[in-house]
Amino acid sequence: MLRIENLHAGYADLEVLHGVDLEVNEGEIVALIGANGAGKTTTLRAISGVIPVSSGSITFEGSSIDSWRSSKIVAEGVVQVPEARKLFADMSVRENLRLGAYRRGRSEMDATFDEVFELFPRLQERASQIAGTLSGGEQQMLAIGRALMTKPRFLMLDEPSLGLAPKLVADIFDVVRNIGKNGVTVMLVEQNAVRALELSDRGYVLENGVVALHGTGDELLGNDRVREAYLGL
Amino acid sequence: MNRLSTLVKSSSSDLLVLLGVVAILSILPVALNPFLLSVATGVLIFALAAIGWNVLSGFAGQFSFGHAAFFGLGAYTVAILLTKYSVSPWLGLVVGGLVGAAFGLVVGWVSFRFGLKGAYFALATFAVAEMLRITFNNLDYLGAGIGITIPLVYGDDWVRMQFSNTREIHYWLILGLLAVAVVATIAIKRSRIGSYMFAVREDEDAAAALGINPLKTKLVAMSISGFITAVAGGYFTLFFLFIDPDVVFGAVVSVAILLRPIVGGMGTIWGPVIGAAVLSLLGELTRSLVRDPPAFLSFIEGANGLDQVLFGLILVVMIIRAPDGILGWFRRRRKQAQT
Repeated sequence: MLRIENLHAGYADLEVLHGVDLEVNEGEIVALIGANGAGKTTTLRAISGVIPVSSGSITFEGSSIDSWRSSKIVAEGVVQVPEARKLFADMSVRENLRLGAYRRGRSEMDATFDEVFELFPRLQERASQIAGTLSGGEQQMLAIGRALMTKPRFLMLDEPSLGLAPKLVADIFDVVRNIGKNGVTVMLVEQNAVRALELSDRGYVLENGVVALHGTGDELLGNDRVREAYLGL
Repeated sequence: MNRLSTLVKSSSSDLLVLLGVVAILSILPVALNPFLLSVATGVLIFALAAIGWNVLSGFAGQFSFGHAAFFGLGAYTVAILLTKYSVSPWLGLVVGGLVGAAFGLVVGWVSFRFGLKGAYFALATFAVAEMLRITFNNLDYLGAGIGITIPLVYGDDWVRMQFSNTREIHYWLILGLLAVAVVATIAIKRSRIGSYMFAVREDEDAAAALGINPLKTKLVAMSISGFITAVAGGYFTLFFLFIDPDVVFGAVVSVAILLRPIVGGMGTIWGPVIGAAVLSLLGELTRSLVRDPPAFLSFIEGANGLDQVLFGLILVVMIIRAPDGILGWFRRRRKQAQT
C-alpha cells in the first residue's frame, strides 16, 4: 500500500533521514521504533507532506505522493495523528472532530460522528466540553477521533501513549487494535516498544536515520539486539 | 435555504444583538448635534475597517500591521473613479473592495508562500503600506502629496452620493454597510472556511494534518479582509471629501484599525465595534479636555496628541491585563462567577 525507497529528508540544513526503505501492506499494523532522534517522527512528517523530501520516493497505492501538498495527501486517505496531540485547545470536542470531517458531505459527517463516538463513548459524553480541559487520555482519544473523522485508509500515530498512565496506555493500544480490525492500515511510532511490537504485524527499527532491522513483531521481540537496546530486557 | 435557516438558528443571539444595536444606533441622528454625528460616522467607518482587519488577524491569526494599505486603496479607487471618470461611488465602493481583495491576494501569496509568520508577516504588511504611501506621494496622476478633493455638489445627488442633509444619510448608509459586514462575519464564523481559519490560527501543522490547506485558508482571509477594509476606506473618501497619501496610507491609520479589535476583543464578532466605540469616545473626550481643560488640569491645555499617548497606554494595559479585549475580559469574569 505504502512504499518508501531511499528516503532522504530533514529540516533546513539538517538531514535526519539518510535513505529509509520501508513498506506497509494493506490491512497491516506496522510499528516504527527507535531511540530519540532516530527519525521516526521525521518519517511520518515526510509521508504527510509536512516537510519536503530531498530525495528518494514515497508511493501510496502506486501514485508518487512525495511532492504532494499535505491537504492532497489527506484527501487520498493518508492521515497522521501528530505527536503531542495538537488539539485545537479552545474549541469544543465536537468542533475539533468536525474539523476533521469538513471535506466530506454533511450526511456522511453524521455517520462518521457515530462511528467515532462508538469507538470513544467518552468523547460523546464530553462533546461540548472545551478540548483544552480534557484529561491527557481523553485528549489523545480526541486526537485519534479527529483523525478518524477524515476517514483515513492509512493512519499514522505518533507516540499515542506518551505521558499517559499505564491503564490508559492499555486502552489506547486496544483502540489501535480495533482501528486495525476495522480495516484501516496503521503505522505506529512508539517509545513503548514492547507493547507496540506485541500489537503489530511487523516492525521497523530506525537507527540514525536508516532502517537497522525489520521483521515481524514476534521476530523483533525475540531479537537480542532489539531486546537489549530498546526493550530493556 | 436549509443552510440559511441553520445559520439563522445557530447565530440567533448574535443576530438579535445586531438588530438591537442597529435599532438604537439608527435613531442616534435625532439626538446628536451635527458635530457629534460626524464623529459617530467616523467611528462607524473605522469600525468597518476594523471588522475587515479582524477577519485576517482575529479569525485567521495573521497579524497585520499595515491595513492602511487596503484602506488607502479603497479610498483612492473611489476618489479616482469619481473625479477622473465620473463613476458613481456606489460602483466605486465595490470596485475599491475588489481592488483591496486582489491586492490582499497578491501580498498574501507572496508573504505566505515564503512562510512569513508572526512578527515577520506584520513587518511585511507595514512595509507594503509604507511603500504605497510613498508611491502615491510621488505619482502626479494621483494628486501626489496634494491629494484629491471631491468637488462639492449642491442639493441631493444620489449618483455622486452627496446630499443636502448629508450627515444623516451618510451615517445611515455606513451603519447599513456595517450591519452587512457584521452579518458577513457571523456567516464566516459559522462556515467551513471560518472553522478552517480558526484551526490555522490555533495550529497550522495540526490543521494541515487534517487536510486543511493553510495557504489557501490564509489567502481567503486576506482577500475578504482586504475587501471590507477597502470599502471602509472608500467610504472615508465619500464622507470627508478629501484624501491624501498620509491621511489614508499612514501608519497612524494601520494602528487605528488594529487597535479597535484588540481593545474590543480579537476574533470575536463584536470586538471591533465595541473597540471602535470605546476608543473613539475616549479620543473625543481627551481632545475636548485638551481644548478646554478644567482649572486643575490647566497644564494640559493645547497638548495635542495626548489622545494618542493615552491610546498607547491603553494598549499596554490591555495587553497585560486583558489580552483578549473587553469582551474576553467580561467572558472570563462571567466564567469565574459561575464556578
